[in-house]
Amino acid sequence: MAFKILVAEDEEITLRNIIEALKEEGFDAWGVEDGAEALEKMKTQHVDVLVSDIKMPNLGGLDLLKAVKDKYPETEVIIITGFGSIGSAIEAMKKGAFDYITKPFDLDELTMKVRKIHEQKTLRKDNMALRTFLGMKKNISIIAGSKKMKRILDTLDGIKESDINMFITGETGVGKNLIAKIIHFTSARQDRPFLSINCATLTEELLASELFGYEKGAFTGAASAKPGLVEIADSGTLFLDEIAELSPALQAKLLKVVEEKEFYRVGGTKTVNVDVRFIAATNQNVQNLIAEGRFREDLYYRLNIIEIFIPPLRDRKEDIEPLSKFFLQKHLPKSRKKITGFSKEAMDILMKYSFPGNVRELENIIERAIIIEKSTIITPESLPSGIRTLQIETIEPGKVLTIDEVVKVYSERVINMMDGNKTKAAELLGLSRTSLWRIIKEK
Amino acid sequence: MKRILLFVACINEDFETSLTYIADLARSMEKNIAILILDRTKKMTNRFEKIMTAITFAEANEHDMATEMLERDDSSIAEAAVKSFENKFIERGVEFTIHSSQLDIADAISEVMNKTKGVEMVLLGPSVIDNGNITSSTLKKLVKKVSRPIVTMSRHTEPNAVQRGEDNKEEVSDVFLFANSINKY
Repeated sequence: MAFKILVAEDEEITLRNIIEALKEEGFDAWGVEDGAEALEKMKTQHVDVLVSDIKMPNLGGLDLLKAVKDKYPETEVIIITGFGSIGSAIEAMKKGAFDYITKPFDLDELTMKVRKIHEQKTLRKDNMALRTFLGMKKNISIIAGSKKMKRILDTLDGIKESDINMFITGETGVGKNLIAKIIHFTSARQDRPFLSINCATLTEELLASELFGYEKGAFTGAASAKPGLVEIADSGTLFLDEIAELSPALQAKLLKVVEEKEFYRVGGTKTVNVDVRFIAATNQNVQNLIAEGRFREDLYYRLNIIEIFIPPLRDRKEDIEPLSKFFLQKHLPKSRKKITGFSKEAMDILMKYSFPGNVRELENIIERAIIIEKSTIITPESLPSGIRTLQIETIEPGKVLTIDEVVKVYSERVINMMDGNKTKAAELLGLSRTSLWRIIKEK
Repeated sequence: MKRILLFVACINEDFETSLTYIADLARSMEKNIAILILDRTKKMTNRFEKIMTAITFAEANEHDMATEMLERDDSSIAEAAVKSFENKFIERGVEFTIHSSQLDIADAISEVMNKTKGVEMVLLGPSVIDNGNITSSTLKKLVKKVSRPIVTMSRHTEPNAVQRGEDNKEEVSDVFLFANSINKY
């Protein structure tokens, strides 16, 4: 995201010189010739730094400073004062200016002060993401013994240079989060933040403010402005788990960020520009959700440049043994036991089980077995009784709808649109009422 | 808002085994549970058995017992049995709700899914799978209708094969053939 600087200066030549000097430093700088105009511009444009002369028509620098600090406390202000007016400079600092500079001034001095603010702001933003980020980078390991998982890793290896949005699908517990981390930490963005959020765990309002942040006074309790995850993840990656749970309003807002790389904070009037790579994940059949009108097709295709499907554990049995051994080694140290492995019978039970909860369930089973086991190998008795005595099979719902099903789903949607009035729905669909009845009754 | 595993059982379910399994699964998947008790299956047979038992008590001059037998509601007995597992759920940090229905299995599941948001997976207990309460065609319809993964739970085939009638055996193997073919797809 370019660092935005607004210069308010009534002397045209000075204004032009300042803007040129800042642009040469790579900043996005533009100018206005009086204080009131500056304030007006800030209503619609996000400004990181305001460089303002103290004496200007309509609204002077000190009044402008006061208004900016009141409305946009995150914007830093540098005041330009006339030679010898040190009193005004002190007053400006008291009112919250970041720094001041006296005329005549060296342009290098000004650009240096702006650079300092840029560094501080970047550092502050990075710090917010740092704890999660550091914790994550250390703990990535993936066990992929099966051909299916090796193929996924090959795909990821092939696209590590690219910067496209990705969509990960697969049942609960297959490791979608882990794959998202691998995508990020092998990409060019690896030294930038990786943030994740589960869209199913928060209410719509909370999710909106978590994702997009909010301005001071946006709602009761919003005592100060707060950046959202989209903003904090700027130049990094944001992982949106269970994206199918997003409400239509949030889907629209997210689409704008993905397409135009800009958004408004909750209660905000200024656009915030970001450069974020999105990785989305779901355990639901998105095609069905699109057919039912519950997920935006345009958002799906914007996010789904490449789709990675992680197969359930029951479809890659070769991974069960190495994963079991991995989890045994992972959880053994805290138990202080000397378990060396698995009995053949225990491993047979695990190999035959279908793991509806996938890898996460396997990890829990092993963790529990370590606690219960009294011998030096994991025996069947320390595995949960359910997986020993019950035969568990999982039937996945069909991934593709048949034409008849699509027609039925669409017809039902139109009936709902017509508040259940089948006659009106049939009219809209160009069908007789009997044909519509036949379609929706068909099983 | 945790998502939900919907466990479907008939009133004659062995809740000890199945609920322990479901509670562990819900804990590891970090989900809550909705339990649907079907009391339509074999309703007529159960009713007949209940009347015959009441007659036996009446013939032995145990009139109070006979009346109680007739008034007893099977689904509430099953609900009470489920509630006795409350601690198992609490220990595992899993919340649960109980529903009962006299509708057929597909309609009963649809009804609960309409009332309960966030059902992620449907688990059919051994009482639904093992006793011929569900045909393979009903299961196929169910897979289409609920559009969620369906987990079938049954007793291991080896020890139970002898106890089941020949018809039921065919029914179950048919179900699993279907399950396997879907999985391959």
